[in-house]
Amino acid sequence: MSPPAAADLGPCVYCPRLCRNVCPVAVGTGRESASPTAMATQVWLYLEGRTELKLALAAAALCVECGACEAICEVQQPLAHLLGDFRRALSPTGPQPLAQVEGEGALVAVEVDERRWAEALAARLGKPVARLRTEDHLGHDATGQPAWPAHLARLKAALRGRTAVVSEHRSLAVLTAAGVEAAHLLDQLGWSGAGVVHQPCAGPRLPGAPPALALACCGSRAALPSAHPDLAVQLAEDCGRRLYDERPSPEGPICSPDSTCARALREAGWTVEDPLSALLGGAEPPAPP
Amino acid sequence: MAIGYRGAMGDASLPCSTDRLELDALRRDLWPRQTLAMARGELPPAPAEVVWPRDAGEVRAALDRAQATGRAVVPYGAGSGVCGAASGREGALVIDLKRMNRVLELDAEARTVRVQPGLLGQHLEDWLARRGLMCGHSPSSIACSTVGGYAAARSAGQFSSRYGVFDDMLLAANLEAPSGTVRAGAWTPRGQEDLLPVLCGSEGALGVFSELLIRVVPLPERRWLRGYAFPNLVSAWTAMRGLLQAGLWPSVIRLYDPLDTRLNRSTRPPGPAATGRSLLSRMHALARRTPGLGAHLTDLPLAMPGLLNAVFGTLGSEVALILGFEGPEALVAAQVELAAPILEAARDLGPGPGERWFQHRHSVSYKLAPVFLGGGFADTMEVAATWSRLEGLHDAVRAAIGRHGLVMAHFSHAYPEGCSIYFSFAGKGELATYDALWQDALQAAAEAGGTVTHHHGVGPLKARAAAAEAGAAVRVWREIKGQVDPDGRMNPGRLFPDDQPEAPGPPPPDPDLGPVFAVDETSLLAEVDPAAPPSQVEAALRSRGLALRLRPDRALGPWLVAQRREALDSWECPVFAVQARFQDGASARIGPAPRSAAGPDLRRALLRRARAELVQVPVRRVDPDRPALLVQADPAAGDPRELRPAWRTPDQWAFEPDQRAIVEALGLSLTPASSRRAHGPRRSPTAPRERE
Ligand SMILES: Cc1cc2nc3c(=O)[nH]c(=O)nc-3n(C[C@H](O)[C@H](O)[C@H](O)COP(=O)(O)OP(=O)(O)OC[C@H]3O[C@@H](n4cnc5c(N)ncnc54)[C@H](O)[C@@H]3O)c2cc1C
Ligand code: SF4
Ligand code: SF4
Repeated sequence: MSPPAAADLGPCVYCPRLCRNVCPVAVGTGRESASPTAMATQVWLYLEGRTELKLALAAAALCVECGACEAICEVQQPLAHLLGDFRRALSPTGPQPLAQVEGEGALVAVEVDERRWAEALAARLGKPVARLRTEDHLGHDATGQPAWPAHLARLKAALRGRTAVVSEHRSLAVLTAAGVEAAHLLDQLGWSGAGVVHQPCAGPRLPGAPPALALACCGSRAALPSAHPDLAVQLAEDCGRRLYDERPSPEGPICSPDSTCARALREAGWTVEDPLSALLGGAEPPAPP
Repeated sequence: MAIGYRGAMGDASLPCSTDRLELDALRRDLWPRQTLAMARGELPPAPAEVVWPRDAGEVRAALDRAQATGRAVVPYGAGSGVCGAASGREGALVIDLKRMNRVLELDAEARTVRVQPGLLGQHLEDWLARRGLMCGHSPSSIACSTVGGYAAARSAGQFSSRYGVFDDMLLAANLEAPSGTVRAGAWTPRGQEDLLPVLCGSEGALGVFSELLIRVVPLPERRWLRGYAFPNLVSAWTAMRGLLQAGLWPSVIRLYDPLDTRLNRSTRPPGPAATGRSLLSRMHALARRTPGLGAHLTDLPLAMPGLLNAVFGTLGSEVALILGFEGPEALVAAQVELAAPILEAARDLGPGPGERWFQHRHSVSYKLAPVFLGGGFADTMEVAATWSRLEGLHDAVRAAIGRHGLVMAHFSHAYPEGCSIYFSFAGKGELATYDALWQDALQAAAEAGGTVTHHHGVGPLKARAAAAEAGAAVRVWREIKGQVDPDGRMNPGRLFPDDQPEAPGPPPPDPDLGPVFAVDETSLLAEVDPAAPPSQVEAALRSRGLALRLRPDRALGPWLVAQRREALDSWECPVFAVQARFQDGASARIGPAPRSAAGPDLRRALLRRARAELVQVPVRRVDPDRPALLVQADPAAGDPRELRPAWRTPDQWAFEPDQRAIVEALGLSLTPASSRRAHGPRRSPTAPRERE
């Protein structure tokens, strides 16, 4: 895959920062460098040969690729894609090799961290549930890499005839791209988050839930946690504060349908409900590895 | 990577960075000259360090750090300023305020909201809208600018005719300055001078706003918008003035010049929406579709602006006006009825143009990028003057810009006394052309008696022009700056340059003419003796069929000094030009327009520090045979802050005789009018509340 051309970023470089108000990273961190225009400008400067790759990659890694800027941009700039493509083209890490599906059953629990929940789901549903472990959300951040189409084909073959159950939205996006039948854990549990619901970036809205807060990114997506760990924490703090302030009642919980987001928010000190924790008996998840 | 250091105040760790990624982003604000330079391969300097305070204590810690390290300080909101005021300064400490983005307190009854300065305008309006309220401040940059920036650069929004400019909404502020905290407006400590007018427009050169108290209003029950076509600009100006001087408060009153009218297809019958695309962006699109034509399409007109402006000048004179009223349903209906006869000369275009404008009112900002991408530059200049000077100002500035670039204009912030003109222009992308254009345009505006900026502020772009406009009144600024920022650490040299010679002021007014020295009947403004008793002023005005609009209870000079913004519960402009003489004989006359952003509002501070010779105040036409309509105060009919009677007491409201439709629509009952009452009570709730 090739990086975008400098001219592709031109509209954002000369834009008066018109989408900064919807960018969760710009708003959550409050940093000028995290405004979509500043990210685009730094990458543009590199593509014009006027700055270093290190800076351009650091700028592109600020983007969590939520697509909020694209959604409101009146000139239809695909900024999330441009920044993502740039990052992936110049710091390629392909998808990690797929693990084997373990166990029997028409349902496969996609386990993205050390929490093992296939058995708990099987007990809840009264039928066998297999598991598929992944440490990179089924290769979510390798979208567009040369290995990507073959990776999707392998995934499809591995899960043929089964339904993948996910507890977060990144692997759901990959499964959808691969054309694999997939369901969210919250549907399996009939879980409906009451209170204020964290809207995972680019994730589907929880059905029937109260209005979610669009501007709240927990900082756990794309390259942000690895490239800017301090900012990821700050985003989670800010996100939790916004959600907390917007609770419809003082007792109302903060809910997240995405277990990865919920974990990031918990690590920032917020009490958050999510379907996976509910399945695991409400127990706080173990500390990250 | 961000690091933290211990703040000088307490032990809080103040987030800060010297990382290049962070500093690079702070090189530029949205001054088009810098954008143009960047396109040409130059970047403005980067600062040395950035801090992200979360509260006033951390702002103080940052100022202490600047003191300790000897750095200049640049407060940075969202960097949407278009004059370079927040742009990169070598070796400076930038205080980026966007982490101070919290709404602190809403007082729904008093209708005020207390906020931190780094909150984006759009986020504040979203937050208030969820509670049925709004500020009504809607600049085109609402998505990309902060409330602190609005105060610091004296911003104006698209609904300013009804809700006022940001100055009018700001009731109190705290400013962290090198010498300490300045509490201003409603928070001014008893016995101290209220510095709020001087803090507004200080562009980071006095200190850092850390908290603001802003007026809010209910979301409008009804929003009415309609388009009208007029045969030419002059007839449209007459109608605009007529509407505003009839005591109506339109939320939108926007007039487009013939070229802008054509480009927006505003006078055509409804068809596919014209989404506000500029001439240049259309050319750009055409150029992309037609490779052979290529860049010439954008290059050519910019290379021959004089010719193109002349060609456009022959396209016809028809102009489009968009008019809007909003608020309680009955009030809107009554205002629409009252406006009808004033709009008789116009062709009614129906609701389409107004609704289209409303839907796409922020889209205009997307027009800029295509021009820069096409190798040119685009910029805007917003000047203002009283109605009597408006045409001269328009012609002079248009001609000056037209020598260098393609120019069109609209008129969007209108008041009973005058109006602003917003020129949009584009030129071929050379810095020398850009600079020559601005120099000519600023000079033309000053010579035509307008303010050089209505709401974009000063920055390095207009620093000299603004200082010339202030004349000797700059001394007042320097005195206050010396007290608040004694080492000159705050955004140095960008507002009023230190090396500019003082322009000579006007001679004193002829005492034989007093107490009313001159009347501008077109703009409904009277120049009066600030020391004369109001009864004498009223008598002199009455003989000309006029009366004062506000109702002072003592001579206008001291009354205006004591005037406090929070005492006016809906916005009104109590004073226009002010002339005063310093002890050494130098004089200054400031206030050439109903509203200005040419630095802080120095008028009240000038009246306190120099001998006032003349104040220009708003007047209204009175007819002894048609007394004001006095009605029983009736909160059930609506909140008087929305209904805006000409004046009111706790148990009576007074409307102008021409406002009968409003009285009837609201079902208010008239009280028997007495001639004394018809001119209003001597003391009213809009008289100043004194705390000084
Ligand atoms: C596309 C576009 C459209 C625009 N439309 C409008 C419009 O309709 N109406 C209008 O009025 N303006 C408009 N502007 C101009 C701009 O948005 C205003 O000047 C706005 O007030 C700047 O706010 P900011 O937060 O971006 O301030 P900045 O640009 O960051 O700063 C402006 C000045 O204020 C100072 N400052 C900022 N915050 C503080 C603080 N907390 N304390 C002390 N000083 C501070 C800075 O040092 C600088 O001197 C527009 C700009 C653009 C790019
Ligand atoms: S995505 Fe659109 S709105 Fe955002 S910076 Fe780019 S051009 Fe501007
Ligand atoms: S995709 Fe999301 S995080 Fe990335 S620039 Fe756009 S709004 Fe910001």
